[in-house]
This record gives sequence, structure tokens and C-alpha cells, in this order.
Amino acid sequence: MTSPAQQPSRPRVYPLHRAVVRASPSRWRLIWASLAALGLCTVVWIWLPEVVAIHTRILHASLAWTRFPQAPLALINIYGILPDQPMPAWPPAQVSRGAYIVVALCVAGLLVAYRRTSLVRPFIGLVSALVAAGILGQMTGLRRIDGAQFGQMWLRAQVVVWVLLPLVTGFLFMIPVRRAASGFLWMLGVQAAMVVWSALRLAFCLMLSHFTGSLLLAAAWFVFGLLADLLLVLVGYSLVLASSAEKIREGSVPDETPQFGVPGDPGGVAGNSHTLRDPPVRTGA
Amino acid sequence: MVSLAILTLYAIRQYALALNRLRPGRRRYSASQENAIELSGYYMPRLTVIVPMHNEERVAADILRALTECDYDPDRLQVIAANDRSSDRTAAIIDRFAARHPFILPFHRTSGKPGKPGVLNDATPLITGEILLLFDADYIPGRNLLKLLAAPFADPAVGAVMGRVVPQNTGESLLSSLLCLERAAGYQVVQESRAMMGFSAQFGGTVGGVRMEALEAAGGWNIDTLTEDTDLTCRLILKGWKVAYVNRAECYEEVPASWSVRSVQLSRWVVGHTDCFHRFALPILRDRRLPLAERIDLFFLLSGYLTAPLLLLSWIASFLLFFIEPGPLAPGLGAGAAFIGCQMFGNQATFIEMGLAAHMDRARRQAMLIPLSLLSFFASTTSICAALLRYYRSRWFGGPADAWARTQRSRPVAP
Repeated sequence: MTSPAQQPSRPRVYPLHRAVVRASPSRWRLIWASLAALGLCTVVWIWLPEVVAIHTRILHASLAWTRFPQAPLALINIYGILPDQPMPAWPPAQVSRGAYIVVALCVAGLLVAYRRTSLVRPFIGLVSALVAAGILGQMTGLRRIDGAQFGQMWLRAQVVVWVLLPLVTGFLFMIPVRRAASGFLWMLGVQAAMVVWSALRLAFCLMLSHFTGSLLLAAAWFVFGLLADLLLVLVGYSLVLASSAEKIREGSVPDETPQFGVPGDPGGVAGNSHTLRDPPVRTGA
Repeated sequence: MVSLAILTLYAIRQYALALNRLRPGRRRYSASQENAIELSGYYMPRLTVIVPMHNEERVAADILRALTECDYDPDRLQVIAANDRSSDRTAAIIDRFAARHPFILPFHRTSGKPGKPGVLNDATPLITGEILLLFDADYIPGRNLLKLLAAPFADPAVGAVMGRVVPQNTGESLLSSLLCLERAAGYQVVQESRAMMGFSAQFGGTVGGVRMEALEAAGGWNIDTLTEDTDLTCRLILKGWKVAYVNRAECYEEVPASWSVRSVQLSRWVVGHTDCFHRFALPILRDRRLPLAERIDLFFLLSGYLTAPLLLLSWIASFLLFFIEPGPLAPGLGAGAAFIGCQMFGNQATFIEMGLAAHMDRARRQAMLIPLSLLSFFASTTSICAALLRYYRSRWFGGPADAWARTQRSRPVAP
């Protein structure tokens, strides 16, 4: 005999149809999510100088690890409220003929991809346009950005992202998960990954600028800049959702979200034979 | 800055819808899903189902078979299989089913304006039901779907009803999987959330129906539009009818598996939808019978595709920021780029809606695809901009307008 406490709950026996489940978080969960978001935001704000310093350390370590040529360091200013940061300051490159050839080959590769893959075509088109703008900028001398200038722009954008990120991740990561603590760990993980990820991308962009001057920097700013930040958040979000969905499916975590059911209509809910776990029926020949 | 402000307003609306979907409690409107499910099978008005078909030999048999297997009383059911100038085996398939099932009425159309609105208009005199339900030819209704869709009409205020569209060819390609995610967000979160707020749903012209009395009051089908569904939704709302949404009334469809097909479909929606925006946005905003929140929501709904060029402007602004020589503006440039960046990648609320839908559907694989939806976002934004460019060129300077184009099917041809 199983005691009532050991008996499986109704939603586990008869999973409610997806159309009638509610995903209502409890009030406490919302309060925890708000507190976590504001708390982490405040912590990042208070420790921002340390966060920026860690970012700079990772940047220099990754440049050193790749045995990249040493460059004179310039101190760059970030909004005045943060300590100046040392950034490799190669002068705007006199782009060699070889670099132009490499970039031309890149564009040719992009155009081949453009013809073959329809879904990513617009994205490739945008990147190609930016490479073209970079070439124009370099050849006309309109704007030649050196590594330090690029690093300054990069850090100014990243600092805003780091401070505001918890306001988004607080709700993204803490609401879908079963335990608030695991959601908070995801928040911390993504916040830390964001700093490391930014330093690695910046190191790559600085290497690009060393070899190709400003030719590829506009495209790099677009592809490896805020778009890559968003991508990281989305990857974290999708992993959280996939993990919570998997646990609920396996039954290791009781699903508390359903708020109501239809009396006398277990699981299948009045008719249409497809339940949540059924794959879509394909009736074609 | 203006485009950023508009995009922010649009993002706020999307966030509000997503958060509302999370809110506990039941719907405000009486024709709620709970009522529809409980009434299903108890309220069975006389139904007419129209299935417009143009060269649909790949899918015609599937939907007709599914309709014959529905558990709706055959004496209260009429199915009009409307063949619109097909040159393949569609007519033969229809005739074969009509010979075996007396409630299937074949309607072979050989002339008239091509396209679904024209078919619906010409088939209207044949309708005998009080309620007209519509399905596109690639849809496969479940056994009790007709009962679920008929139930909300027990409320005399309901003029139209909409069910949930679920792709059946998820996994056929990356695009079809991403579209499955988009559909889930659009129905499981946005449509359901709007219904929870008491707002009228958007009638999608398939997996839905309209009360004949309401259709006549609204002036019938508009054959000059590319999106007769949105056009009818607006006219019904302006005439004081409600459009109900039943999340449980799921029907499987075939989504485009290649971008070339999707682009054609999207272009048709963009042109038709934007045309409806120009014709109905102001009358809806001025209609004081509707709650202010619903008017604002409908305005954003109709202007949804116009956010794509605003996004494009934001991208251009971001690139200009990159190339601007830093001077006194320097400290602001990075922050400006960050704020633009927050908006320019398709306002994140859309991704949150996708995640919420995947969470509620317990769809693990779909959840894993969320980062890849950035690809379809870029592709959609550029396709929408191109379609809008053609639309406004035609509207302001004359020239050929986009014509109605049927969505190509990828299902194998039935033997």
C-alpha cells in the first residue's frame, strides 16, 4: 500500500493537455526573481571596477596565450567613473596587399554561401555590406579605428550590458525552473560567462584589427558585438527551458504549473486525440 | 531615436502579453476556453466547412479524409470542397470523396478572380449552415475539432472563432522547426494572452469560423485583399462582434520547409496586413465602444510588420555610430550602441514568448532551437522590408501590386 503522500499526483498520471496548463509562477517566485535581478544588478554595479579589471586580465591573458605580438598599451577611459584600462594600441594598420586578398577571399566565400543557403542569406548580405563599408572606410581614410579606440567602444557598450543583464536574466532563468536556487545559479553562470565571452571576442577582434586594420572591424562589431551577447543569453535561456522540460517529462520534478483541469476529461481533454506527449500525426501518403 | 521609441513601445506590448500569459486566474471573457471545452458536443449548430483548393493533389485527400472522420453529426454538416481552377488531380480527388460522402459538396470554379477570397465569395451562395468553418487544404483536423470550434458560437456575441495552428512537418527542415517555434509563440502565448485579457482574437482564415449572420453584417468577403482573414477580423470588430480563441482547438498544418516558399507566404501576409492597417487602424482607434487597451493592442497588431523597417533603421544607426569620429559625444556612443543593440535584434520579448511557449508545450527540442531563431529573424526582417518596399512603391507611385500567391506544399503526392 502506498500512502497518500507517496501516490503520484494527478497531473503525473494524466498529463494535462498543453492547451490548458498554466505556467503561473507563485508570488514568492516572482519576489525571488525580482530580488535576484535587483540584487545582482546592484552587486555588478558596486563591483564594476573589479569586473572590468577581470575582463582586461582575461583579454591580455588570451592575447599572450596566442603569442600575439606585444603592442604598446594605451589607457582608455570608460565613462570616467571607472578606472582607465590598458588596451593594446597598434597604430591604424597600413593594410598590406595580402590582407586585401584575404578579405576579398572572405567576401567571395560569403557570396558562395549566399547562393547556397537561403535562410542565412540576409545575414550574410548584411555582413558583406559591412565588410564593403570597412574597405571603403579604410581606402578613403574616412575612419581608421585602432585597437584602443575599438576596445574603448567595446567596453562602453559591454559595461551597460553587464549592469542591465540581471534585469533580463532574473525573469528568464528564475521563472521556468523548479528551484529558485538553480535559476539563480544559471543567472550567475551566464553573468560570468558574459564577461569571459566578451574578453575572448574582443581579443579576436583586436587580432583582426592588427592584421587587417579597419577592413573587418565594422563586420566584427556587428557579428561579435551585441549580437553575440544576445546569442549567449539565448543559449542559456534555451538550456534552462530544455532542462526544465526534460525533468518535467521524466517526472523527476513534479509539475506544479497546471492550475485546473476539465472534470471527467483526463489527459486527452474532451476529444482531439493528440495529447501532450503524442507526436503530430502525419497522414500523407 | 524615434524608431527606437516605437520599437520600445512595441516591446512593452509584447512583454505585457507574455507576462499576462503567466498570470494566474481565468479569462475575463465569457466565451472562454473552459466554456468552449465544456460546451463542446453540447452546442452543435448546422455547420458548413469550406476547403479552398488550387492544385492541391498532394494534400487534398488528407484533409477530406480527416473531415469525413470527424465526429460531428453528418446531418448537421456540409463540406464544400472548392476546387479553384486546378490543373492537377485535385478535381478527381474531390469528386471521389463526394461520391462516397453525401455531405461533401464539390464546387469546381473555372473562372473569376484567382485566390482564396474569390473562392470564398463564389462559394457563399452554396452555404447552408449557420456557422461557416474554414480550413486551408494542408490542414488535418482532429476528430472533435469541429465541435470545439462550434462551441464558442453558443455565445450570441461571438462573430468568429479561431483555433490553434500546430505544424505537423516539424523537423522536415531547420526552417520548419523554427516556424513551429514561431507558431507556438503566436498561439500558445500571444493569442491566448489576448483572449485572457478579453480582447478579440485575430481570425486567421483557417482553423476558424465565422457566423453567417456576422459575415453578412460585415459585408461578406473582400476579394480585393490578400489577407481576407485580417480584413474580416477588423470589420467584425468594428461591427461590434467578438472573435473568440480556443487554444484547445488544435489543428495540424504544413509549414513551409524552404525559405523561397516562406518568403512568398510572408510577402502576401505583409502586404495584406499592412493594407488592413491603412484601412482600419484609425477607425479602430476611434471606436470608443472598444476598451482603450484593446484599441491600442489592435493598432500594434496591425502595424506589426512596420517594425521591420524600423529595425533596419536601427541597424543603420548603429553602423553610423561605429563610423562616427568620437569627439564630445564619445562617452554616449558606447551606451547608445548598447541601447540600440538591445532593441535592434528583434526585441527580446519575441524570444521570451517563444521560450514561454516551448515551456508550456514541454517541447524540449523546440526550446533548444531558440538561439537559431535569430537566423529566421534576420531573414524575415529583410523579406518584410522588401515586401513593404514593393507595397508602398505600388501604393504611392502606381505599378504592379503583389498578387495572391498560393503556398507551395512539400508533402509527397498521394498515390
